[in-house]
Amino acid sequence: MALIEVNHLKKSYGDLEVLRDINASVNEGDVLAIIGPSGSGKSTFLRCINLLEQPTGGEILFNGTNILDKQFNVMKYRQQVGMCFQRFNLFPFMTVLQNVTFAPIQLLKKDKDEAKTEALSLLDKVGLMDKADVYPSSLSGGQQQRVAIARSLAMHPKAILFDEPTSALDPELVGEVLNVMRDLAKEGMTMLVVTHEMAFARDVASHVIFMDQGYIVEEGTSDEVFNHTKNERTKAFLSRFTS
Amino acid sequence: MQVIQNLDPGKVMQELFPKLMGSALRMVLLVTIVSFILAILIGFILALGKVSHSKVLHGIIGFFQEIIRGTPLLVQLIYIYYVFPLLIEIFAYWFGNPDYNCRISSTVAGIIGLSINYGFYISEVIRSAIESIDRGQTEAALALGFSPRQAMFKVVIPQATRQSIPVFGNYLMTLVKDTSLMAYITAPELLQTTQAYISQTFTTIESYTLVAIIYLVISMLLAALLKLVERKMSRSKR
Repeated sequence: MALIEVNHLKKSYGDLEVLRDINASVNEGDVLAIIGPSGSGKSTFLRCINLLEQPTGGEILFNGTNILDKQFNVMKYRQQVGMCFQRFNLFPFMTVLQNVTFAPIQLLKKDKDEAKTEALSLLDKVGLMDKADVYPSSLSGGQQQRVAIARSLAMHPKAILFDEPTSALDPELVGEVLNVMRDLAKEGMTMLVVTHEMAFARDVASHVIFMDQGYIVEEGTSDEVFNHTKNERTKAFLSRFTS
Repeated sequence: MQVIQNLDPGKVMQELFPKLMGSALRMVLLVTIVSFILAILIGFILALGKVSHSKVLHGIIGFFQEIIRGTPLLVQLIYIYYVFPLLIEIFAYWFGNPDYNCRISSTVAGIIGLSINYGFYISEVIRSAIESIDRGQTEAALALGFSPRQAMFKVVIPQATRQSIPVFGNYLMTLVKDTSLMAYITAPELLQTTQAYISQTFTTIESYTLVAIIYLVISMLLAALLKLVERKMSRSKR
């Protein structure tokens, strides 16, 4: 059974149809890259998956359960599906360490010392152990995004959604974030990544979806999408990155 | 000049000063502290009502806000002290209790008036602070698994509060001075005590100068205290 399965997903704002008929399936350990031009609905698709946007049609199955059911416990579900944002959205009034321990202590009722020990090892993993006691504002964008990844990991999610995690970064800071994500992928973390980093999508993703105007235009393994592109629009889009 | 020759600051210092520094000052401090705490509480409750999605709540709060902001605080205090008890007695009469005698102490009336009035002004500060917090903060909390209510109370409100503290400080300083309006509802605070003393001794210049200096000193001490608090808060801000 797929971990996340999306069937005929639709989302519209009034008359504006952003997602028209999205079907996708993500197995445990998959890294799904979602690519496409701006305004194609990539981010909306991702945000529908953890219900930051309420879909207007279709179904999303998590371990076989439809998360759009009225009785479905959205809060518990979101604890299992982490999210990293384009603008990091760290909590500015908490130290780096507090950012990471906040949800485990509050939601999982973890013991403070235990949460701290674990947070420090996660910060070590993203290379920021020495920044544990500073406030996010003193970090670079790349460092903030790595803290955000550690914050997600602290909840032991089954999957993490990345919404253009490197788009707000200076070019020289992109690499450090992608490296952390690459390591996560190697460890078998299930990831859905909306990205403009084609090299990352090609090298790290197990599956790639190309979206345009609210539809999935092309999908397949990264080899199929990048090296044996079928659709003309995908070709045109990719050619801008490879030239 | 006759007036200058008749000045007697020594007498005022000996007779009025101890009175002011005793029960009058205690009353000012008590009313200020209690009203300020209540005003902030009321401010938070009203602000949460304003950012809620309930149209009914918006309507009710908006209606009372118009009244509170559209009438002078002095009139409100007088209304609470003199008119409210009468209205309550009328209601009591209607509901078959004609002998009910409603009295409200000037201190309580002052606290009620000041805390409601300041509560409405402070609620605007808190509301705009809440709305200024980036939507991404709420989304990040939701994405971690917090409920909308938890996201509001644990992530948004702490930030909005930090942002509002300097403005709270300003309101606290005006609140101290506005307690003097209670002189008009017979509360024996600094101004009323001074006026009572003047009516017996005719030491107008010395007495009012003394009371002005006392308010000034209170304000300066408060300002220094607020600066300290602000500095402490900003260290942990960002």
